Amino acid sequence: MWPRAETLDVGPAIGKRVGMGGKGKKKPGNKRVRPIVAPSTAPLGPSIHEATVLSGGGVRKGKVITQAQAEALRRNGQDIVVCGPQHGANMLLARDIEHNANGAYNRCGPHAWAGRNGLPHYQPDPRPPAGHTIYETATRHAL
Amino acid sequence: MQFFTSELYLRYNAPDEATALAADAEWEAAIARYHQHLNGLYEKMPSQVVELSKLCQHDGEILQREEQQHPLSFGCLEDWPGPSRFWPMWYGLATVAVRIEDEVVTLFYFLCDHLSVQPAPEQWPFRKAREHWLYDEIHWQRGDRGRFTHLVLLSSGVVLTIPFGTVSISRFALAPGTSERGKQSA
Repeated sequence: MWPRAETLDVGPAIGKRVGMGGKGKKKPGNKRVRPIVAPSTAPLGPSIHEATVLSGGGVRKGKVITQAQAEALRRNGQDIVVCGPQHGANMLLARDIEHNANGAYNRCGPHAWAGRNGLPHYQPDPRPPAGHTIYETATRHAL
Repeated sequence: MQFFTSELYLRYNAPDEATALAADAEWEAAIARYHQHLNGLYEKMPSQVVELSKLCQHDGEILQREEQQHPLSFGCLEDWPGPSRFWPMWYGLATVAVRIEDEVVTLFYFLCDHLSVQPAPEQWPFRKAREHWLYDEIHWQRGDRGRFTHLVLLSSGVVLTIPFGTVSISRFALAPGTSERGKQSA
């Protein structure tokens, strides 16, 4: 059984031709038009995560944390990772976290033997504490 | 160093974002070129050197680095009649001990020549105390069959040049909880 042709709240009624009126001429009907929402042009900001450095050199990201929590973890010698699509933003946030947590730092590139999963990172200079503030790049990502 | 040089490392740590990001691209290129370089050397490497080439000691704390000379005694020739026909022989041994997490890795290099230490660049901004292993490269000594060079950049800015014929790698596990370090990073 086909439903009655009646105006529905959403979309054209089944059996009812949208825009029909007069002698076959199309009227600008009450087409239900979804408003076009312009996609946000602002890039997503970095997110900060707990991190585990794997034996093969890769980095596994854990739960999302705040910057304050990240700095506390770094003061305690734990690893954290900054993730996101913007290499530069990730790098700068990672730098700020390490600096706020431990002061002087240096930045190290991925080791040749870590493979594609190796990530650049900041670390205290000198040590202790242990650990690293790691970050993603455009081509290297946490697992 | 030919790939992971002190100068590249300094650019990598430049305070301005543009220079640091450009150095990041250079670093990626250096990794690719180093892999290509090693691929051309594997057929020349004995197994111990292959193992050395794949060690990742980045961020390991340098506990010891020294060169020693030892006499090579031909005990079987002690009963050789007549005057000695041999000059005393000596061999060189370099020892580099690195602590990574709960393990100490000691490298014993049987030297072809003296270990050399290139001082840090004048503008090296990082602390010189408590040296750590940053990056290393293995090269083949052209025209010197069977001999390699291990180049090691340390956190103090010093570069070790270790010309060796073969190497022995020893690992020693520390008791859990004795290390103040976190996990080794890539």
